[in-house]
Amino acid sequence: MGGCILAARGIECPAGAAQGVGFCRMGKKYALFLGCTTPIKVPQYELAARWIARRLGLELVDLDDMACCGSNQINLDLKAGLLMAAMNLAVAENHGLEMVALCNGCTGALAEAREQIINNEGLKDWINRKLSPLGLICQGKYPVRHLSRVLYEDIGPGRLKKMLRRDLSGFKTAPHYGCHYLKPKAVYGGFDEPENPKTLHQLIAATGVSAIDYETLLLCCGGKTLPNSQEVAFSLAGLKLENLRDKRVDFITLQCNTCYIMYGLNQNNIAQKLGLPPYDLPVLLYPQLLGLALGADPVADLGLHLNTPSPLRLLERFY
Amino acid sequence: MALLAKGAAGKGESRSFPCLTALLAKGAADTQSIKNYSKRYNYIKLKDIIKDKKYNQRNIKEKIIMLSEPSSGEPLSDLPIKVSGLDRNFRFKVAASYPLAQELNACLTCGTCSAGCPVHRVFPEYDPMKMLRMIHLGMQEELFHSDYIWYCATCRTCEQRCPQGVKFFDILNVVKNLAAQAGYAPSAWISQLEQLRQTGAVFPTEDTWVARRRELSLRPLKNNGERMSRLLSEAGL
Repeated sequence: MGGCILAARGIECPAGAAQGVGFCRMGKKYALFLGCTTPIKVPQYELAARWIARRLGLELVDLDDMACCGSNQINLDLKAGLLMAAMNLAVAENHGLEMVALCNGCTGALAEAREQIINNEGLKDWINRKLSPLGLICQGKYPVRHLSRVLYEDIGPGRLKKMLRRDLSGFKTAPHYGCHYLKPKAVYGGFDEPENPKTLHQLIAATGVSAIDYETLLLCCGGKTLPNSQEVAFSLAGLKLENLRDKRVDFITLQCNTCYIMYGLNQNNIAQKLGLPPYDLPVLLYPQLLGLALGADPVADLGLHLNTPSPLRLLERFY
Repeated sequence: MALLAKGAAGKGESRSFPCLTALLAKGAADTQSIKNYSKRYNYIKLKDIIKDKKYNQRNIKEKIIMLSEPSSGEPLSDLPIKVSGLDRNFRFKVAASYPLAQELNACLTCGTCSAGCPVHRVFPEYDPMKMLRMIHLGMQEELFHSDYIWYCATCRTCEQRCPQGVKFFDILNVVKNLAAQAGYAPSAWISQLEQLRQTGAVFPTEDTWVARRRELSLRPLKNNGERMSRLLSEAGL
């Protein structure tokens, strides 16, 4: 496994120690789990994630054998859903890599499956029996983390701050964590506090942008109800958008493709369906925001032109 | 097990609220009590919640108003659910289906799950505590028939806040699984399953998206349909 030269020699890295993480973990390798939605519907998220990973020295390894995480299939058959997640875990294990996912839902499904496989021998046996025709075996060896969590834990807001190339101070944003980034708490080892989350606030603050607190911070985007009830999904997303209407934020910052589909892609539909005036509130994915702060080209490196509603007017001050 | 889409099983027409279905089935409800029922459980007007800045306080107030609204006819509470005709073993079936569903019987009916549920907030008829009680009482048919079990946003706020560690998310998943086996799976999930068998992803790969990935110099996606088909048939889906 790759990694910091000092860490490889068992020497504590001063930069890492300053962050309280002990060893510096720059240059570490991860298996990238793209999921279904991001590469097809939100490719700018993937583009930005790959750019910041290159810039920060995190190696993202693409494993083509990975498929859907199974987070929707647990609705029809819990075990089948867990088996789909286990298949992906097994592929990463084969390569000896821990996994990093872009989507909150995928992170949750994979981490939950790993937790179940570790704690439930019967289930583990069943899964491995079903995986054997594919030539795979799943032990649940390596953790699965969300990209933002990797940035928070392995790089740290403090070190990000030292790498900034562009001054984004003056911007005000509303962070949106997304449910599966925080819950279930036990599966994520108490990484962040689900009722009072701080990590995305800190990651945003590291870019120089100020992150506000607001009443509906913890509200679900409703994305998972979209296939079954557009009414429920739009109502939920509408509550947050309406809450943000008079907060004078420049944009929403989030870290999940499903949340982006609700607040970004569907923003106009929501206003129309609920009979409310349009919002025109740009939505950025965190890697896009971080990329901007790190000096990336907004269009070629971060795909900001693909975001709906367009955030390009925010960039006028740089030109 | 082949899963059938809702409606294909022949009895998936019900869009009404399950308790109401139960009442009708028992022949206990006349037209007037149904009217009162719909009045009391009317949707909170979403626009009204949205217009108010103090969502939480407003929401609580609306609920109090809704529950204390004077009704001219027979109140709902006077029409008890007759337990005798219900499947008392349903809760044991649910608890035995998945380890995480075992805590089902620890529920204190405090209602913390419903209070924190975002779907309940915009759609009061979706009520986790009520559904849990229905599982306890064995109202299997009503649950299977209702569309509400499929409205969960999977945010897991209910289990996060439950003082008794009841994992309603997992319990509801078990109920959904049982409903799917009985032929009540919504068509959205069935068609996703078909899509998975073709591409290994839940979305079809459209040419415009492929072209956009190429424009952005992102690597082409591999079709894992065959692999996924094998996996799903191994799982018995």
